Amino acid sequence: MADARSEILSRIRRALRGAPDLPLPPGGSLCPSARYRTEVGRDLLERFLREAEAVGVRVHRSPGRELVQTVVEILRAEGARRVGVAEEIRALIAPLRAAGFEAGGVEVAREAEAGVTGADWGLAETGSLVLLAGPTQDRLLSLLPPVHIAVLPEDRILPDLDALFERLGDVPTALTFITGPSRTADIEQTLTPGVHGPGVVHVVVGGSLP
Amino acid sequence: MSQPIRFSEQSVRALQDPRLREALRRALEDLRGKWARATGDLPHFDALRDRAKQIKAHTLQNLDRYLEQLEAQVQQRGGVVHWARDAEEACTTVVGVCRSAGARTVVKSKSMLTEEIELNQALERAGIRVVETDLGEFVVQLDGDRPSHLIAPIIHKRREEVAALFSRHLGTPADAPVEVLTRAARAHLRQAFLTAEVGITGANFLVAETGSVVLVENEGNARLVTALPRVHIAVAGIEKVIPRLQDLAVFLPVLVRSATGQKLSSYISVLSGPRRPGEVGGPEAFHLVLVDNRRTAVLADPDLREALQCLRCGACLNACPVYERVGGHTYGWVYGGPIGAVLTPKLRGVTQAAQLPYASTLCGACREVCPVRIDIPRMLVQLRAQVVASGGIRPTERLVMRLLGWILRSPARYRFGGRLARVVQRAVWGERPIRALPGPLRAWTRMRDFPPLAPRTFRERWRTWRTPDRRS
Amino acid sequence: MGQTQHRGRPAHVALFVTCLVDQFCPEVGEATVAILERAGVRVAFPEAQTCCGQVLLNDGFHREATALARRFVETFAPYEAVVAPSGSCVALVREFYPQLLRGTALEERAREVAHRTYELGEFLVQVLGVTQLGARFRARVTYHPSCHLLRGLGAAACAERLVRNVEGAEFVPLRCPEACCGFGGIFSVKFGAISEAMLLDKLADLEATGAQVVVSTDVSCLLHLRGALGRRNSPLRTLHLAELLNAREP
Repeated sequence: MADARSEILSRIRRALRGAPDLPLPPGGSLCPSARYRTEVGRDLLERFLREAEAVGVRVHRSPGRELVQTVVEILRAEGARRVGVAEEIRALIAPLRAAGFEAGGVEVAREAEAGVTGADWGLAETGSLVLLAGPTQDRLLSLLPPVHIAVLPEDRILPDLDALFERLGDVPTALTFITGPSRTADIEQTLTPGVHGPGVVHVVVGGSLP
Repeated sequence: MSQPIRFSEQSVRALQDPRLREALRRALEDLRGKWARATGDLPHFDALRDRAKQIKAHTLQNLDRYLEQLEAQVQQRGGVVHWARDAEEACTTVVGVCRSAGARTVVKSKSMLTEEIELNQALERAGIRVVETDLGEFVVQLDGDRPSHLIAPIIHKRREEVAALFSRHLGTPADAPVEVLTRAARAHLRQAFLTAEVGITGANFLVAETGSVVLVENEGNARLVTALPRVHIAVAGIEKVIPRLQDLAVFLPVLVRSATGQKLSSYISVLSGPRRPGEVGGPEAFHLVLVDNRRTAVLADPDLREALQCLRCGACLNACPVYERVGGHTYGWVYGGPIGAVLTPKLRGVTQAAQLPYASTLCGACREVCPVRIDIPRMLVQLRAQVVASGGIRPTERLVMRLLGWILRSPARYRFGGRLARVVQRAVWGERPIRALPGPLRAWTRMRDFPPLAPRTFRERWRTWRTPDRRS
Repeated sequence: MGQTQHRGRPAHVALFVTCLVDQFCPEVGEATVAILERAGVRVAFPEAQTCCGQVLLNDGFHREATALARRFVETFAPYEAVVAPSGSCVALVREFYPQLLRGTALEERAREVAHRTYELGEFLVQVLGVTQLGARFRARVTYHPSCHLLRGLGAAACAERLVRNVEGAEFVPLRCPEACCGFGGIFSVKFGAISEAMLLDKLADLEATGAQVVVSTDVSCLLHLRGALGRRNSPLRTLHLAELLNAREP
């Protein structure tokens, strides 16, 4: 008896015998409406903030201000004491400790009341955050704590998925799109946040690291 | 698997359940509204649908090539690819991987394919504890129930039922509101995430170019399933492959907008192989199980091949007036609604599900909302021919239809048949609306009169009414 | 679908009356002829016609349906255009005939005939460019677009426009006009209970309009609705588009 692989492949070849050849269309969504794309691209930051807010993300602008100040205010407002900070912005750990928080790295992700991470990109069309897993971007701090705070540099906002895929090199082990908080509508279509991931998502755009 | 699906009997039962009717009506009204807003909101939505369909059609016509590319890419990134001809082979493979990982507990995110192959039962038989982590699927599992919708598994359940269930199993108050129920599920399931050795997911898409598994969700449970356990197993049908990463720019918006009316779902994970050195979170080992389970038989049927383009968004269920009245369980298997009426007969055999292709008025609402424009009504009509060919229709019905065909083929027989029917009608019912018909037509006249034949046909009237020069 | 190709204005059309109109509602056929003639078109009635084969096709008897497709194509091929007072039959001719006759000598002809076969309202509005036929009808009127006209042919708006233009008639829109009435031919026999549930919702929507008359382009839907309205002794009447357009009330 043939192995499963070759049997399935030969079943497929048999099934497709005589099937017409259909061309693969060009890549990307190639949005046929140029006006729509221009509209999205006109003011990336404004569109990003509006869309993020629309999906329940709390947005903060922190131009020229010390980032740590904004993060501290958010953490206080959320009543979070234990905080996990991602490797790429670990410079925040010391000032957060100085401000009285129990701050640590990814090792505290399971107990933390809030996770602070960077975001590699933002997508204006949908208000999405894009996180690329890697040695400085773990997969837990944006997921396990009930509150997620993402820090997004203003120049990292792209119009849409097409623009992202154009820029993305080799794929990381995990490419994660976050568009709003964790939510479920399974019970009677009642929208309920925080079912498994963070029920609260903050995004801080701009701001300088210490 | 051996009992034929009795759609008609089940539908009568479902129709008599006013709470089910009300739950479906409210949920579908909500989902239809979201669909209308989300699809009306994007000016090029229809163009995206056309593009999505083209990509899917192309991929299926080159499925062998893309699967080989996918396999090579997964292997290059350190993953293991398994192939499974049928449900049993798929289950054996997954159980084998779980055993060698020393798994005592596995956590799962929502997957229709694992329902289809009855993976949970296989794992439990092997002594492995399975925990469904999607809230709806968790409820289904606790209750020993089955999902009744592709994306809203407990669309048939009311809050009170979930509250009662949770109060028995999780100790929440019997009248707990949804927020409390959700928090209780979160706490309960978080423990399972932290102890499970293996996480099992399905796949919304498999990207051939990069060897990626794409998971679309709102809860975050799929992220947890793929970030915490040591081993991740993705179980996917062979039709889930798409050629390129950038094709997601087409598929994600059409899928998500069609399914839930969002622009993008809360979480979309594009996962490519196991964790690399220096990374925190993610599995040490990644396995992809590619399942056929009669999908190649669908592929081999040129009339129904298109069904493999389905993205499992649930839009056709939401739009369907029949699904709206009877719910997903009536369809007798994992796939309900219009697409289920196509897939079930093909995946299980037409004689097992001979009623399903007929369970549609062919109103076309499903085709109109499909994100890849699958012509479901056309396929249902094709399937009906397959039912007839396989002897899945009653002998009397077959006789009547053959006779009707014979009569309608000849204008002389057609005229004679009409005259004969009038003689019978006058003798039995006179010329008033017919209030009761015998036999299989009885159901029709339960709340509707059957129209009487007109005393004279149009063609008879035309002959006397028209002057000869106007006649053809 | 919906794409109809007509060069110029046909002066002469063939009526495909449909078996339901022929047997159950001959007055609809007569009204159709009267309207077409009023619109300046000569009408022929080829007597070799019988039925489009919908019931056979939808029940899975495709060999039998193919024989009827062949008969239809041969009967109507000589005519400039074919007009039928039914969205459903026309949708079948357009969507399925070329497929049923695929690989036969008639395939190309089936495609041509399919392109020249029109539902009445579609023919009047899209081919003849007629939206006003001088009809007068004093009643509150609502309109139920048949599923095959709406989604099969994409031509539901034609009939609605004609209905709205009838003098004296007050048009009241239906809630959820796109919802199926539950007929579906063989469906209403095989799944009587589901069909009833759909019908009940449609009746409730119809009665909620306060209309006195419901108009549609398909006698299949109308006979289904009429059968239930009659049983409940409802004052709501059913009327085919052709009958409405032919009305000349003072």
